[in-house]
Amino acid sequence: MASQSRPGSVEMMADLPARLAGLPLEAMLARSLSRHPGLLARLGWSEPRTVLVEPRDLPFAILIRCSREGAALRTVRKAGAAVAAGVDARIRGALPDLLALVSGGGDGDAQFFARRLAFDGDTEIVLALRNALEDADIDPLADLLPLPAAAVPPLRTLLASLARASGRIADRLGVLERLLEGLAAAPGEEG
Amino acid sequence: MDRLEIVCPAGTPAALRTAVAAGADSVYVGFRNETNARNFPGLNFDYEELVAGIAFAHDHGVKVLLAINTYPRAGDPGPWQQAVDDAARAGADAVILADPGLLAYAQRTHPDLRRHLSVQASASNATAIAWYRRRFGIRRVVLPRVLTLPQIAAIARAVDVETEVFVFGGLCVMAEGRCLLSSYVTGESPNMNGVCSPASAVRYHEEGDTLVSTLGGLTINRFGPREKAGYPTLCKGRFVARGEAAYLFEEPTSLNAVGMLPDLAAAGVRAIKIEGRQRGRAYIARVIGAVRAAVDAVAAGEPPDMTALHALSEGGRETVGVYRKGWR
Repeated sequence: MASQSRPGSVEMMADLPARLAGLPLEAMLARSLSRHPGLLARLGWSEPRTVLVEPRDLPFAILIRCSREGAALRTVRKAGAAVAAGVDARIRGALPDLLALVSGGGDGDAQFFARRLAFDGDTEIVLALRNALEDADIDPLADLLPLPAAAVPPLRTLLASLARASGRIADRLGVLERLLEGLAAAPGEEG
Repeated sequence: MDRLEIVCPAGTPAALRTAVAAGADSVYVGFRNETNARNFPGLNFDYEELVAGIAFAHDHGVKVLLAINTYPRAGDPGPWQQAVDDAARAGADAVILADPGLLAYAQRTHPDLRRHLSVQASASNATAIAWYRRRFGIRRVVLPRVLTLPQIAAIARAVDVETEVFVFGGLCVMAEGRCLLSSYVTGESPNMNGVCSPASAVRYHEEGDTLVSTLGGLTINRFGPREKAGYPTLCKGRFVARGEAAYLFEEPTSLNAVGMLPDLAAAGVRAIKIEGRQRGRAYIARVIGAVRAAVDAVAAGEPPDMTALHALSEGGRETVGVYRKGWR
């Protein structure tokens, strides 16, 4: 029986990349909670709740267990359907959208309406988490990364420039895409 | 003509700071309990947060209005009266109330605390508003979203209280304070519990590429693969009638009457309100920034720029509601 309840060496090796990826995430969580002590109080969970976060563009998922007393996370393989079934809620989306949710940099409702974010399970838990993160006002650079304070402003400027540049490229691609869609749709409309 | 006062929502202290920075004249907030009509998990203020929020807003010349706009439970007005006491003690600039008993309590206990009549009171004619003015000394009425522009102008002329109207955000088509749709399915309503479609009764799940929303165990909408989703309220549910799935009560459409600001100002409206205490900081910043620019443009005699607001409407669709009624 014991061998059935404990992962074998093959499974442990398969989990290793995900577990290694979890180490910096654990450090980010601890750093965020120390800098935003009101976050857990705003959640108001006297009993622990579990939320599975599934970034679409990462090979692993993040399992967060959280209560008013504290929070912990571990990374798990996405293939673990049993994990998803045992959690209170699950949130899925592309990594940039999930990061925007954490930092309040995106409009969570609009992202959900646009089907860029998806969730299932206990809606109350998802809503509380979203609202608590909104209030925490987490700065991804200063709060998540162990950077010296002096390094944050220039890095922020650099990232903003990159974001503007990528936005311009995305805009141009969008124009091209709409143009191609228009060309493709034109015969049908005339017919 | 006075410049219109922009009354902005804030569901959290961080949202309040965002609203102040974005150009709000006033910010309305609620306590973290059933005394206000946005009683959602993780949202709202405790007493200490309210005190800090008021201090921050006042430092920037912005007012804070406290919504205590649900109806007290029968035989248990204590939490609502406590909220009024706390608002006065914290230095709020006004309380937004709906219940006549609570209005009387506020007037008697804190006569110097400004009283606004909430939209939840559903006062939609000059006689009713004048009665609230006479009996409870209200200084402002938030008008229900069921009045046309000429009706608003007539009310503003007839009553000696300020008028405030919604100009942007979620559109509640029912007469506020009287809608029982949420109670019908979940047992809880915005009027008594502060929640329309409480999160505990809402579930979303996917069936293949289709997103299904349920409320109280009942399916209220199914969104196709590329279709935009919407809020899980019964009034915006899509139901099958005569074999066709349709929005029978209300389309998932946002109110956007910012283009009517010159008309509203000319009608005698004093303040314009933005809905959305449940929305995040990014939305608050963008909407308030755009409305601030529009109000300033109107004050300068220029037409408001609507471009930025079009993108923020629910489902990408918007309406001026009943303000400009195009049907009989």
